[in-house]
Amino acid sequence: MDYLKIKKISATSFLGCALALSLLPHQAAAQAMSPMRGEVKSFADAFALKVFPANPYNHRIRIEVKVYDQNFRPVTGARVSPAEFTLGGRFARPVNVIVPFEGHAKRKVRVCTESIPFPSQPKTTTIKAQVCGKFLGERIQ
Amino acid sequence: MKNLLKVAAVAAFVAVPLQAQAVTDNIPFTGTVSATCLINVTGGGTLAANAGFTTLSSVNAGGIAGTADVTSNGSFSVSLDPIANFDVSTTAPNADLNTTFATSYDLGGANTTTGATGTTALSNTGTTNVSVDLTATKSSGVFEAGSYDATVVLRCEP
Repeated sequence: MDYLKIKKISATSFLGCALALSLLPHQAAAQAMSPMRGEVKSFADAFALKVFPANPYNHRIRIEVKVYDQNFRPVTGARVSPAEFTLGGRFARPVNVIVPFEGHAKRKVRVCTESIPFPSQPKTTTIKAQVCGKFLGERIQ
Repeated sequence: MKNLLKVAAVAAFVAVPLQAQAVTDNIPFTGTVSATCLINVTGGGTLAANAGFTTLSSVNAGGIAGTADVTSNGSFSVSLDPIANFDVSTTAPNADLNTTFATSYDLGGANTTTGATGTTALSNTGTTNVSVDLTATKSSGVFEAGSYDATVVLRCEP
């Protein structure tokens, strides 16, 4: 019974997220991340985002996409696909993010693209670039 | 046969437009530029110890600030995350013991400021050169021999 209940919620989430994804801009540009602002309305118990992390360098870098709340605490229930990947130089790729409302009617999150371009240089201080977009999810009852 | 050729020639003449018209039309182009922020880390920094080995800093003699270029075409701000520890790759013993960290940054290029510690709005679009400084201070004891690694998070957000 519990299994059936989970399956039903998942199907609803999928349809709602698919609608939300279609409302987002689909353009990708050679930027660190695009878009960096967005509002999503969802009928489901989660909302979906699509962001495009980009590698501005000429070499491959390792990228992580993470979801934080307004106070930069990780949103543990968020699903990012793919969350970690290697991105070639001057290249961008889409990343899907699904954020649960967790009972809230609205939820503001930061979706951050993080990378460490020069991890192996003989320096003692590494700068970790973090480009964050702000997104608002609104649940339609 | 001659008549047939004449008729064909007349028919062809009639079928040709009396004058060749130059046709022009406009081809529209449109484009959308998203407001985005790009961070290009141009160099890591180097920490150097002071004479008493109580501070490790990029502003000490021999230290080098980390550098990055931030290019923005909209309303964005930059900030640094506070640091609590050295990286796990640090081999020096007792590195984090009685140690506090402080970060600051200078901006040049499109936006300028000196010694900033909090969030700074990039009021001008374009490329801003960021110079990041890190200082680790021992409240007691000294920084022992070994290698020290630290990571500073440079953030750009709307």
